[in-house]
Order: sequence, then C-alpha cells, then structure tokens
Amino acid sequence: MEKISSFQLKCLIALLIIPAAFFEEGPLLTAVLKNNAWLVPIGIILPGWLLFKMYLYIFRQNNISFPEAFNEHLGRFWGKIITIFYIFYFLVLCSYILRIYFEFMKINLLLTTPISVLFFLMLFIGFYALKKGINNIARLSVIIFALTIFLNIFLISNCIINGFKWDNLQPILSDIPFKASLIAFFGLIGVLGKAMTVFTLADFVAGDKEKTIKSSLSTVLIIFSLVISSTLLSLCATLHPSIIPSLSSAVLTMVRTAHISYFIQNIDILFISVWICGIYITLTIFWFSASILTQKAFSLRDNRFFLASSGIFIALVSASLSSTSLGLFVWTTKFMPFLNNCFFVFIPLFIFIKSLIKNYLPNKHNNESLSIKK
Amino acid sequence: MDHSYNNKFSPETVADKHKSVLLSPELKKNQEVLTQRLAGCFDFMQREFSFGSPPVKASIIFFEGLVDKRQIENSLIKSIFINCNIFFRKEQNSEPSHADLLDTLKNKVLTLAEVKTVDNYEDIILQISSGDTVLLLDNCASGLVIGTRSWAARAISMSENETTVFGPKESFTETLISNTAMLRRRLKSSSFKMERLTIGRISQTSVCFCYIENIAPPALVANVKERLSQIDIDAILDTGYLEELITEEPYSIFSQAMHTERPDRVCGNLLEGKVGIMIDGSPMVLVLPVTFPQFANAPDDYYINYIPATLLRFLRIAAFAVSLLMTAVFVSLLTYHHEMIPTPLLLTIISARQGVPFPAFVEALLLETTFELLREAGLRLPNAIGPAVSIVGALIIGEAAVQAGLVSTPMVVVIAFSGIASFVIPNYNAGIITRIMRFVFLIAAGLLGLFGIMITFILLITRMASVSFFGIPYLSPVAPFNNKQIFDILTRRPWFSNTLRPWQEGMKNQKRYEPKPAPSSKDKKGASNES
Amino acid sequence: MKVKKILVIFTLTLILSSGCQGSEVPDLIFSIGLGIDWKENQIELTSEFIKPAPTEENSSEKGSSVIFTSQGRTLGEASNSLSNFLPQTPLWSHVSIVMLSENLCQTDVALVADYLTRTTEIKHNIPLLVISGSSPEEIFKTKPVLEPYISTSLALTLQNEEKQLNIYKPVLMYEFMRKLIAPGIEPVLPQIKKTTDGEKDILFLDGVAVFKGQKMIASLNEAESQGYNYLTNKNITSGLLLINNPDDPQYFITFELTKLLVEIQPLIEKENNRITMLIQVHADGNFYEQSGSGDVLRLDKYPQLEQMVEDKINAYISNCIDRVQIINSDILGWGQLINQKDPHFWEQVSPQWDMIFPTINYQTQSDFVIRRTYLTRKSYYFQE
Repeated sequence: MEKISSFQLKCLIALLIIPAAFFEEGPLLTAVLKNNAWLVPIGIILPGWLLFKMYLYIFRQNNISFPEAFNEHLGRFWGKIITIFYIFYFLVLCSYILRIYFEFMKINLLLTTPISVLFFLMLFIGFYALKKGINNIARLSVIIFALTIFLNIFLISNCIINGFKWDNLQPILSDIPFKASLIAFFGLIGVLGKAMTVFTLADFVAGDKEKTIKSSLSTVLIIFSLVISSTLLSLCATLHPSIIPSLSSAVLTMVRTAHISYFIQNIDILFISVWICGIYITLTIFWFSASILTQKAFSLRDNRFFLASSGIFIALVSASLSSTSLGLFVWTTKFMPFLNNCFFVFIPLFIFIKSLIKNYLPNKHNNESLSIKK
Repeated sequence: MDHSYNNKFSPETVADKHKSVLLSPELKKNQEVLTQRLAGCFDFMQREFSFGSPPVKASIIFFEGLVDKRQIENSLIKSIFINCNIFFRKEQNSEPSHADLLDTLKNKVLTLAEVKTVDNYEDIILQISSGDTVLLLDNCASGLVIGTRSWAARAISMSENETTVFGPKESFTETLISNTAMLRRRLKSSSFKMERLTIGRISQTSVCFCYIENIAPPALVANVKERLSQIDIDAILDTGYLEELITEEPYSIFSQAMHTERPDRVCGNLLEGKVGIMIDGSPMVLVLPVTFPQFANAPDDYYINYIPATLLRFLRIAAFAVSLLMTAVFVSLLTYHHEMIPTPLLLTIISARQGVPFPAFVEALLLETTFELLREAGLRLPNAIGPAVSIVGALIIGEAAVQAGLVSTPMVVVIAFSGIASFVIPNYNAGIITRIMRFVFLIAAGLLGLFGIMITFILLITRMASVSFFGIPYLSPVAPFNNKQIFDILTRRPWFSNTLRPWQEGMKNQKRYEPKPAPSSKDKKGASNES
Repeated sequence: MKVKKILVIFTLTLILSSGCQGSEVPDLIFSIGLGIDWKENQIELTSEFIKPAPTEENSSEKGSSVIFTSQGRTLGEASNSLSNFLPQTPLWSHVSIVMLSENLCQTDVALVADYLTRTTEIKHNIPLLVISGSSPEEIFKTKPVLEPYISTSLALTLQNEEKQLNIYKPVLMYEFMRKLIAPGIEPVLPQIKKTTDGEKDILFLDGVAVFKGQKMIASLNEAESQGYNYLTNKNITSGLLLINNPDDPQYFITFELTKLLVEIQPLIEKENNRITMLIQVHADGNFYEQSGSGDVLRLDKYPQLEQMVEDKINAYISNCIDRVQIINSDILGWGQLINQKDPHFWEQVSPQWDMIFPTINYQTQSDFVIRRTYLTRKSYYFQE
C-alpha cells in the first residue's frame, strides 16, 4: 500500500488541529486575554516545540508507534488500559467536533435541517473515506489543505483591508493577568497536543518515520501559530475585544463583515462550506486513529466492524453532549481544555518523566557495581 | 442445441473447430473445402490457371473489394506467366517438385513486396479476409499469401473532434496500417515498438499496441499486453470496447484512457512513457494510463508560446469548475442562500422569476435535460440540417420558453454558460464526466444547498483519489502531491526548460534532453557586430 | 451485498428527503430598509420591501417598493407580526440601512440593540441613522428621485457624502454596538432630516446624534460634526474648508482637503490629577476655489493662508470638544485612549469619568500644507 509522504503528513496534521481550533480557542482566548489573545499562539511556539520533542522521545524507542510505546513504558496491562482510554477519547473528540461544527451551522445556516441528517451525512462520508484507506485521506488532505489555507488567507486579508483598527489591539502586552495567561496557555497547548494523534499513523508513513514526523510537526507548529494568531489578530482588530466574548462565533461574525467592493457580501457561507472539508479530515483522522488503536490493542484482523459501530457511538455521544448551545460553550471553555491537557500533555508528561527516570537508574546501578569492584 | 457460443469461457469456438486443419496437396480438394466453408459469401473469388511446362495447376483466391485487382493481374499472374515460362524452358530436363516450385515462385518470380507461406485453412481465411490473395498450387500442401490489400478507405482528413488552430491537422483513419504509418513517420526510432495481437473470435480484429522501449515502464507494457491477451470476446469493433475490457475499475464512471484521433497527440504521450492501443476499423486510439488532471491539456498547448498556453490552461481548469458547479451553486443560492446574492443582481432575478411555476431546482433540471437532449440530437442529425435545428432549438425554444414564463432568463443564461464551459474541456471523456456529475451536484444543491455541494465534492474527490489505473493514482500529481510534476499540469513549461518527462513508476529514462540555459538576448549577434 | 446497497440508498433517500426545505425567491419578499420607532410603549417597525418589477423589455419602471408597518412589544415580535398580512415570507438579509427614530434613541436603544446583534439575517456592516423631526414611515414614503428605493438612496447618499464632504462618517451597526458596550467611548449616529422645497421632499444629513449609555442625549450641528469627524476619523481624504479672503473678507477661499490625520496623546499628570489631551493635526490640501478677485495665490501668501486654515481646523475641533464636554458624553474615545496608554490609571478614574471628562484640557496644534492649485497657478486676474 502506498505510504503517506512527508508533505501529505504535514497537511494531515495541520488539518487535524487547525479547523477545530477556530471554534475551540477563539472564544476562550479572547475571553481571558481580550486584545492580547493573538500573542498566545506566537508564544506557544517554544512550549509547543518542547511538547513535540517530548512526544518524539516517548515514541522513539518503539518505532514511533502509539500503543506499543504505552505498553513499553507502562507495562502491558496499564498500557492497554491507557490505550482504551485514548480510543474513547478520540471518539469523544470526533463527537465534540461534529457537534460543535453543526451547532455552529445550525445557528448560522440550515435552520430547518434536522441535525441528525447532518450527522449522518458527515459520518457517511467519513466512513466512505476510511473504507478507502488512510492513503486516500492523505491525498485528499493535500487538496483540502490548499483550499482551506487559501480561503483563510483571503478572508483574513479582506478583513484586515476593510476594517483593521490598530487601536483595538492596544494596549499590547500590558496588564496581562497571570491566571488568564495560564488558562490561555493550557487551552492552546491542549489543542496543539492533538498532533500526538499522528503517532497512530506512524506505520503508514513512508521513509524514515522519525525524521518525517519530526519535520512535519515542526512545520505544522509554525503554520498553526501563524494561522491562529493572524485570525485572532484580525478578530481583535476588526471587532474589538469587548464584543467578542458575547458572540456565538466571533470568527463567523468577522467573516460576515468581509465583502468585495460591497457587491459580493455575506460570503460566510462560502467559508463555512470550505471549512467543512477541514472538519471532515479532522473527524476522519481521529476516527481512523481510534480504529487503528482498537485494531492493535485487541489484535483484530480488520477494523470494518469497529468503524460501523463507532460511527453510531459518535453520533449518539454528539447528540447527548449538551441539549443547549450554552452547555456546549461550557464544554468548549472548561471540559475540553481539561481533557485535552490530560490526554495530550499530562499523561505523556508522566510517561516522559517515568522514561527519563528509568533511563537514568541503570547508570546509577552501574556506578555502584564499579565501586564494589574497586 | 449448441450452447457453446453462449458461454464465453467455453473452449470451443467457431475458430477452434476448424483450427489447424492443414491444406491438402490436392488443389481440387482445397478448392472444395474453401468453397464449402465460404459458401454464401458472394465476394469470395477463385481464379484457376495453369502455367509452365509441364503445366502446373494453380488457383488464386481472394475476397472481392479487399484486393487490388491490378496488382493481382500485373504483379502476380503476369509475373508467373512471363517468368515461369522462361525459367522452366531453361531447365527442361529436371522437373522440380511443387514445394520447390512454391519456393521459386516466392523467392525468384513474384515481384510483390509481401509474400508469406500458409499451410492451413483458418490462416487462409484470415488472410484473405484481411485483403491478401492466396495462391494455391496442385500437389502442394502449402500456399502463398500475397499482400494485395487495397480497399476504398476514408482518406486522411482533418480531425473532426479535436480541432486545433496550430499544429498538424491530420487524424487517424479506420485502416490500421495507415495509422501505424502516421506514427512511424513521426517516431523514426528503433525503440518505437508496435506489437500486434488479434482479438475477437469472429472479428479477428488486428490490435496494435505501441510504446517506446526505453521510456515506457516495462511493467506497464507487460501489464497491458497481458490484459489484452486475456480478452475473450466475439468481436472488437472499436477501441472503446478495449477500454472497458482491460480496466481495473469496471464500475467507475471515470475515463481510464484518453481517446484521441490525432497522431501528434499519441506521439506526445508515447514520449511521456505511455502506451497506445489502436485497432483496425477504428480511428480512435487509446492512450493509457491517463490521470484526471491531464484532461486539461490540449494539443494546441504545445504548438503555441508557453505563456498563452499556460493562461489557456488556467481557463480550461476554470471552465471545468464552472461547468461542474455553476448551475448547482446558482440553484443553491436561489433556494437556500439568498443573502449571498448581491442586491442589484437579486432585484434582476426577482423580476425575472416572477410567474415561473417551477422551483429553481426543477427549472434547472428541466433546462439541463433539454440542453443534453439538444446536444445528443445535434450529434444524430444529418449535417445538412443539424446546425439549423441546433440553432432553432437553442434560440427559439429557449426564447419561447422564457416568454411563456416556463423558465427564467437568468437560469437559461446560467445553463447555457455552463454548457459552453463544458465544451472548453479538450477531452470528450472528461466532458462526459462533467455532464454526469453536474446532475449529481444539482440534486445535492437542491437538497442541501452549498452544504450538499461540499458533501458531494468531498465524496467525488475521495472516490477519485482512491482510484488507480495501471498503478498510477487518478488524481496524480495533485493527490498524491508531486511538486515537480504539478507545474506540468498547471502550466506549460517552455521547451527550453522542459527537460524531464512526467515521472511514472518504473520509468527508465526520464530525461528528454540535457538541460541548457534559456536563450537570452546576449546570445544574439546583431547586424552591428557583423559590420 | 446487493441488499446492503439497496438499504443504504433507501436510508439515504428517506433521510435526505426530510425537512431540508429551502425557500424559493417568489415565496419571499425582500426588505431593503428598516425604520424602527417607539410609539405608545410599543416598537413600530416600518420596512421597505422590494416589489418585483414587470419583465417587459421596454418597461420604463426600474422597480418599485412597498412600505409595511407593524407593531410589537419587541422588535422580534414586530418583525414576525408582518407575517400576519404578508403573503410571502419577509427576508431581512438585504437590508441596506436601519433608521432609528429620535424617540426610540432618546428612550432606550437597548430595546432593539439585542435583536439587531443577535439575528443572523440582518448584516452587521450596514449603516445606522437617526431620524430627526420625522417618523420612519414619513421617511420611507418620500419619493426617491434618482434611485428606485429610498433605502438604497439613503445608503448611497451616506457613501457619497463621505467621499465628497466627509462631514459625517457612516456608522456601521457592529461599530455602533461595539461602542455601546465598550467602556471609555460613546457612540454617535448621523441624523437625517426631511424638508421640502415646495415641489418635492428632500432628505438630507444634518448633524450627529450623541449617545450616552443607552440613550441619545443631544445632537451636534454640522460644524461640530465636522470637528468630531476630524478627531475620530483616521481616513479623511476629502472635504472642503472655507476661509475668508485675507485681502477681501467678504469673499471666500476654499481649500480641498486631501489628507487630515489627528494624533491625540493624553498627557496624564497623576500628581496634579490633571489630564491634558495634546491634539496634533497634520493636513494637506489643494487650493480649490477663490470667489472674488484679488491676487491671493502667491507663494509669499501661503503661510498666511495656511495659518488661516489651521485656525479654521482648530476652531472646528474646539467647537466640537467644547460642546461634547458640555453634553458630557465621551464620544471622542478619550477614555479608551487613557486605557491604552495607562490601564492602571484608567481603572482608577473610570468610575468618576463622568466628572473628569468635562474638566479635561486640550491643546490643539494644526499643521496644514497647501499642495496643488489645479489648472491655474495664479489667482484669476480680472482687468479693471
């Protein structure tokens, strides 16, 4: 089977974390940091790089493969337990992304369409893509990445040209509360940490896996910072930080102000329609990762049965996440940052420290034995 | 009742029944057998004669209409009569055997270019069906096949379906040999190979596949050859049959080979490592493997300057997108996303759609169907009245429908524009895909607006990305992305920098020529220097 | 396999045919302008709807509109109650202007602000106006002269005025809402008035409405509005300035502004509890017109002319600031400026900003440069 090339992997990882970040991080960062929200994605570059280095360290010894690394570091039993948690979490992430995107669409667009229809359609095309295989999803990701990045650049530049107010961004770097910075930092690092999912795809990567994944993660870190910070910058400059926290979707409100000579207006629908491609890839990758982990954890021959049943699971969890959009907002600002950090920061950190200690201890043991010999 | 013909895998075929039945040494018996087998064929001709001293009985057999009778008269029969009498007068004492006689005729007497021996009835029938003449001698269990092919064939003319402004104008005809000749004239290299197969139990069609030996991947050539040789069918009447019979994806609507009737286009593709397949009886040549982005290339691109060629390519890509999506987007805007329509345009549309009894989706569907009907009708009508009816259909029916209030003018304009855009696509096969998918997108737009269009788009590109023909992904070099080749699709490289062929797995020789610096104005030697 | 495929297609058909109904254009009626009034403790919504024009080729009618009015306790109720008598569904996504009556603004803008922000249909980048001296219904019933619809006529008037005179800057809805919420700045809206010249009604822009909190408290006249625009608009590239001819004061000289940029720096003296605003104006202009004769356009006269223009600009700015301080509404955004410069100080003073704002001193310094003189280099000289 054709393997995923380096360029395809970069596009995959970028689409894994960027589309959903618009929904997840926009409201949180602007609520806590107001006009300085756009600085956080720039400041996250160094911590993000360290985070990725940590991931590479954890997975390096096990051929960069996800579940094997947990088995190696935590033992077979605990490794399997943790893997199962990750499987469920990936499915929960799929449900959350699905729900938050369609909630956003229901608010702004297709008001009469039942949300179940939208869920079904999205899961159907995701299922179809997964049946075709990860290499096809990787091929698609190149096309979709190009589309979404082009649109993002167009919209940001349009908003900047039409309504940029430098005054809205001031005062820059002034009076940032420490608690707010921590919340913003952990919120964003949790989103960035979703890139850890790429290690489930390690077996499908062509060439030198470690080198490919390393370079992909570095590139994506820069792209992520640029895209999110430019979006937040134009958001704050166009709409003013005082109004952003009260908006359901500040990015969409900003996009609604975009126009081409006042002739072509309300191009937010175009934005939403192309955005759905990015969400589709995000959903599909998490779903695929869950199925691969399941296949490896339980030594299944193929994952077709899992795909069908997990699709139903995703739809049900999506529908039951919250009955109101305000409840979903609580998920976005409280539960998801906490869960993201648990799974993508704290658990890997714990494993990293354990691994460091384990590697350090044999040296101590050798020194003692030498002294005895003396 | 014999059911053997109903089962395509049955080993017994019409040909098999009579295969390898050797000729009899008796001329009379051979004649009887052939007359019996070809009973009911009024064009089957036999002409008996004798020559030499002692006289040797001979017979020539051919199908009328396939042979050049003058050649038979002047080069075959006359040669025998004149030369053999002279030859045998000299050697009166010895009586050569009739086998030797056959050899002598073949090597020393007959002046025709193509002479082969044949020793069984099936081959005789095959050869005379192909336009050769067979000479049978008495007391000789072999015959001679003499190349006397000549029939009324269509002259080489301009391509009707792939017209260009610049470049060669000639196109293939139904005669395989003249088609191969056109290719051979353009590729005068010993590495340009043309291999022949016979496919079709009844039609026994000559199929030729050609490639350039040190460029085309050997695995591809072997793959194509194997697939062709595994075809088991009663008749091949067009290259289109072959495309469906050798495909890897039988249920795909995507065209897996390029159909072309231009020799220059075939040569261009052969030079990029592709394989061409042509058959006797069809002017269309299959070129494979082909990827979807290549359908944006037109032959003109390589005959004009690279800058306008590149811009035209962008236009074609845009035209493809327009023809696929324009109607669907318009319907979705009218039905679901009114806020996206600019207000002045909306005012015009509101006025135009007053009194139209159908929803936008139904109106678009009706107009699209009418457009397709007109297009098909235009193909079937005789040349004399075809254009007139097309104009009548397009203008008058459209005008009348608008005035009657059945459809609105903006919708007619949109449908017409997207129809015209579909004609910009240089390849008929890609155009067919567009025509089919346009309806799918239209239905999706009618159901779910822009969201439906995006869902369909995702499904379409997922399907296209998952399909590979002869080992090459269908969306290559876009997906999987190949940064070196992508410019070959989006732009037309200038010839001075087009040093590499598009890469194919297993390709032996990717370099066209050694790279040289682009010509610059400093290289020019002006008149002032010469003085 | 076949059964599975049939099942999938059947399920798809069922699901896709459920409830995804769009709306056809003939089933909708599009609104292009909204007027909101507060009468008898009710919201009165007046809307101009597009009436589809006949499609005959030689029809001279470009298009006409129809005005409908509805009432409700809230704006949402009023807009939905239109369905009681409209045969088609009203669609608000093409509204090009929203006019608020003076009565509503003086009562409480919060009566309508939430609906206007929350609804997905009305665009947020459309201008708002305050109607002074009339009701929205009267404004909409004015017969438009050059445009087919009064709403588009008003929206275009605003744009055109900004390009030519630059006295009133169109205030877009999201900008207005932002200023309502943001601390340290109060919103303004241009005012529209109706007058008649005997034959026809004319709508014209006259002054800006000043808000404080949620209510309109006063208006600025044209000169004060000009000063306000100079102080707050970062993109002035047009407008005229008239000064008296220094040689013959009964006549005027007109300069056309090509650029005017104001920089305001707050000078905070914490020890003295004093705030001074340093206003620097940089402007460029062209010699546009001289009424009367007199050899004014000479290089040696330039400093005098420039000084006169600078004084004029200072006068506009002073008039505006004085008036605004009397009204005691920080429409100039000085509170925000202080917040940007010293957020800690702003935190301390913001609760008493109402008392501090009228006491703020300011110093204006203008710098005007004459650039070009169009087709003639000298004053038009008449033979005596």
